[in-house]
Amino acid sequence: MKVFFQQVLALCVIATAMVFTTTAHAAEPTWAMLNFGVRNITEDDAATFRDLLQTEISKQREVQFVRSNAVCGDKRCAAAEGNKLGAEATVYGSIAALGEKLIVNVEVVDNENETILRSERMSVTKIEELDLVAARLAKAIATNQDVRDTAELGLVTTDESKVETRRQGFGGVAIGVGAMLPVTGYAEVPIGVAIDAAYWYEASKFAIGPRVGLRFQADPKGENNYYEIPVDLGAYFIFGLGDFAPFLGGGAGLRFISDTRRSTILTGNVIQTTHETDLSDSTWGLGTYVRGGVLLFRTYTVRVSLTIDYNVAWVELHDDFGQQSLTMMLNTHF
Amino acid sequence: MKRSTHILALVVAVLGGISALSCSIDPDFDAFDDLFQSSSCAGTTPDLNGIWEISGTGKRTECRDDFLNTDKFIMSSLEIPMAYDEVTGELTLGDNNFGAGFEIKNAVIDQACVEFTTVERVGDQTIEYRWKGKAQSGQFLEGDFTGTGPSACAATGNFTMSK
Repeated sequence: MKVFFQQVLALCVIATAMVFTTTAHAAEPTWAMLNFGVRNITEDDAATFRDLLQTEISKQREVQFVRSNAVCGDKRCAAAEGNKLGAEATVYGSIAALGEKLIVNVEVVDNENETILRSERMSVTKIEELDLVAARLAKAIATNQDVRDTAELGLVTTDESKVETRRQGFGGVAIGVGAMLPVTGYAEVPIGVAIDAAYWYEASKFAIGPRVGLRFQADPKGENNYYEIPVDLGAYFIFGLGDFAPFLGGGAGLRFISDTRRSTILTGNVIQTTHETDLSDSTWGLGTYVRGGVLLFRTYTVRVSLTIDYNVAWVELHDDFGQQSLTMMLNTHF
Repeated sequence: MKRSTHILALVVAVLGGISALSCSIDPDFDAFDDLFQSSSCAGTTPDLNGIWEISGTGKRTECRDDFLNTDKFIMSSLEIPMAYDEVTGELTLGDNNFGAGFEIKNAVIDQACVEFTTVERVGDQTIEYRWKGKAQSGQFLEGDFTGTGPSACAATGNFTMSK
């Protein structure tokens, strides 16, 4: 009798364990893992990668896998194979060698709707790095992240550590001289001299560069005089690749302006006195400009440009806000 | 008494007198200036009645606003009516016809010399000039002026007045 109860108790424990195990498995989704298509690499390498990927996905999220040796190249085929296996989703893909590169494509398809849940691609130059690829792709699939965002120390591939190739521009010093025509302010003188020294970085469709300049009264004997130091950063769009290329742009920066005007000073209303004196005012402030011009001999290393700037210095001098001018310059770009 | 004793007593008396006199004199008193003034103003007072046109030049220093400092300013001409009562010795200038912000005060005559002060208020500034001149004739008068303001300026210069 005692033995009988012991056997019944053991059966109950086993049955309970089986029920819990079945319940636990039922809570996890089932994914199908197909064989990967291969081009120019061995079946064994591809199988190793598949094992690694399955393990990494299982580490990242609770999912149980059923495996198939079928190879699919599209979602419909993969979904059909997954449905046969009773899986909710199917992981499939390919590994191909392209020159020195190994390109890995992985897709996850929803078997019921035949919709792609995830599609990721990575490439490496060493087959030994397929374990990194498996870890990164598994994390991307499991956490619904872009594979580029899954990088962390120990998971960066050799390809990713390389400096990306960039397009090259052409940079050099530019010197300009010309005339400045004050519109408002600038001691109300009619014309001034403009000199620029700049760094001109030129790409096929644009140019950028900082410049420092000097503007001053053209007539050294003039009663009124001024000088301005613009320090700007400009950017320009270039229309054309030939030896005659118009461009348009502008910039902003700091300006220092000193403005001295010969003025008549009056005191008193009844006993009036008058005298002449130089009234000086100077300040730093924000300056902006728009520039139009033409770049000549663009196909040569030394180029020439003709420019017209409309400048506004957003400062107040002698109680007048906003100093405006036109500048016409001839620039040589070395 | 010996002759030398007399001389010594005289010297002591003179020095003592000078000392006593110097102690009683106002330290600001300038005997030479007063003497000069007295001699420069010597003469009879001419007929000053009439419209005088005043003009002058000067310099202005020590101004808080630097643009007011100058080595030479020009004073534009201004017509000032002048009336002198020989009986009372009273001198009247301007006849208060320059507006509320302007007044002429402390006008005095000393023989051929004329002295007066003008005070003008412009905004919150006060400009004051003290004029001292000598009439060369009944038609012409010239002299110097000093002034203060605006902007704490100190002004000096010379002027002429003519009918």
